[in-house]
Amino acid sequence: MPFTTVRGTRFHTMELGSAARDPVVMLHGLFTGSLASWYLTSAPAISARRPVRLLDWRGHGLSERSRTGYGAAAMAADLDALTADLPPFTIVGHSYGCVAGLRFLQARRTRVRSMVLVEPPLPDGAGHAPGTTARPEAAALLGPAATSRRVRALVEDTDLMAELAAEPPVTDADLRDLAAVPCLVISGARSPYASAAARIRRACPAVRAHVLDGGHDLHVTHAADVTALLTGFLDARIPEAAHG
Amino acid sequence: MSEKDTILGDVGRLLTEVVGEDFLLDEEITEDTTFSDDLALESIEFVALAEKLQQHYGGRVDFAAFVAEMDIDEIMGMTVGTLVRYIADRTAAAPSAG
Repeated sequence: MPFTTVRGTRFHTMELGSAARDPVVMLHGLFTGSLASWYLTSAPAISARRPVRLLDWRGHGLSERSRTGYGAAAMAADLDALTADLPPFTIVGHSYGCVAGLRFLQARRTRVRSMVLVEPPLPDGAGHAPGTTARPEAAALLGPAATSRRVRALVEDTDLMAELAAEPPVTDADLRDLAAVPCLVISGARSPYASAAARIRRACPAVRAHVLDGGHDLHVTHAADVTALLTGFLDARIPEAAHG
Repeated sequence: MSEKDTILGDVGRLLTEVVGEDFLLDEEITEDTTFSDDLALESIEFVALAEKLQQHYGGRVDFAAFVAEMDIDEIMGMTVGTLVRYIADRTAAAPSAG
């Protein structure tokens, strides 16, 4: 099983597909997320035509649970190290994976070919905190222990909560940086973050948006729809040779 | 020992590597055992098992393609027997060389 040590931490990664071009890196969300979030949903279908790399963020899945390093900037640095061998790639993020992906785009613009943000956890007026999953039934589909033992250890034995609380908010200026690459946002109409798509479009009209009738974990509950949107977006982008 | 018994043994052994022997002390792995209900497997543990099986059986199996056909609740609710039958079908179709 592929493990890679970067920045002093052992990460679990997975490669799918045998295609040689146009890699896609799929990022999961915090707490109940792991590379299973995409392996058991859209990743296999995407990998039929493009190489897909999945990873477990530190403290998640089978990656090492370090004490620190859970802020989006640190996660972006982990992503940088874990993709150093790839040509420019597409980022597909779910939940907090979107925030880490955005910070990576801002730090490493030329490494990113395009972005898909699935349920970016931008706070609405009620102030739901980023990175939380509000739909327990989807978390239950990911495994009963995922919501107990592993998550408890993440919350109690690391600085994750403090680092999240100290995170600088995603500003409209940050969102305008999404104009640098072709970008699609997929949001759930019944998610606590349902307003994120509209907010992103106001800040950055170049971003395409699609709203599905689902909640925060619609990559699980609406996997077929999300897969169709992902493949449609990937196929519709301009060819690599013509891309700036 | 039949081919399926051998594969069942492989699945049990690799499952023990993933979750540890203590977790499976009271559980006999049979073809009717389900991953989520009987074994309370986390999704990442199922994926880890799939990775180990992929490594063991090599190019004769393609678990990503296998799970691509199913919803996540079908995958996690799968019986060990379904997995064993998939492996048996693929290894019968393409037996290992030598």
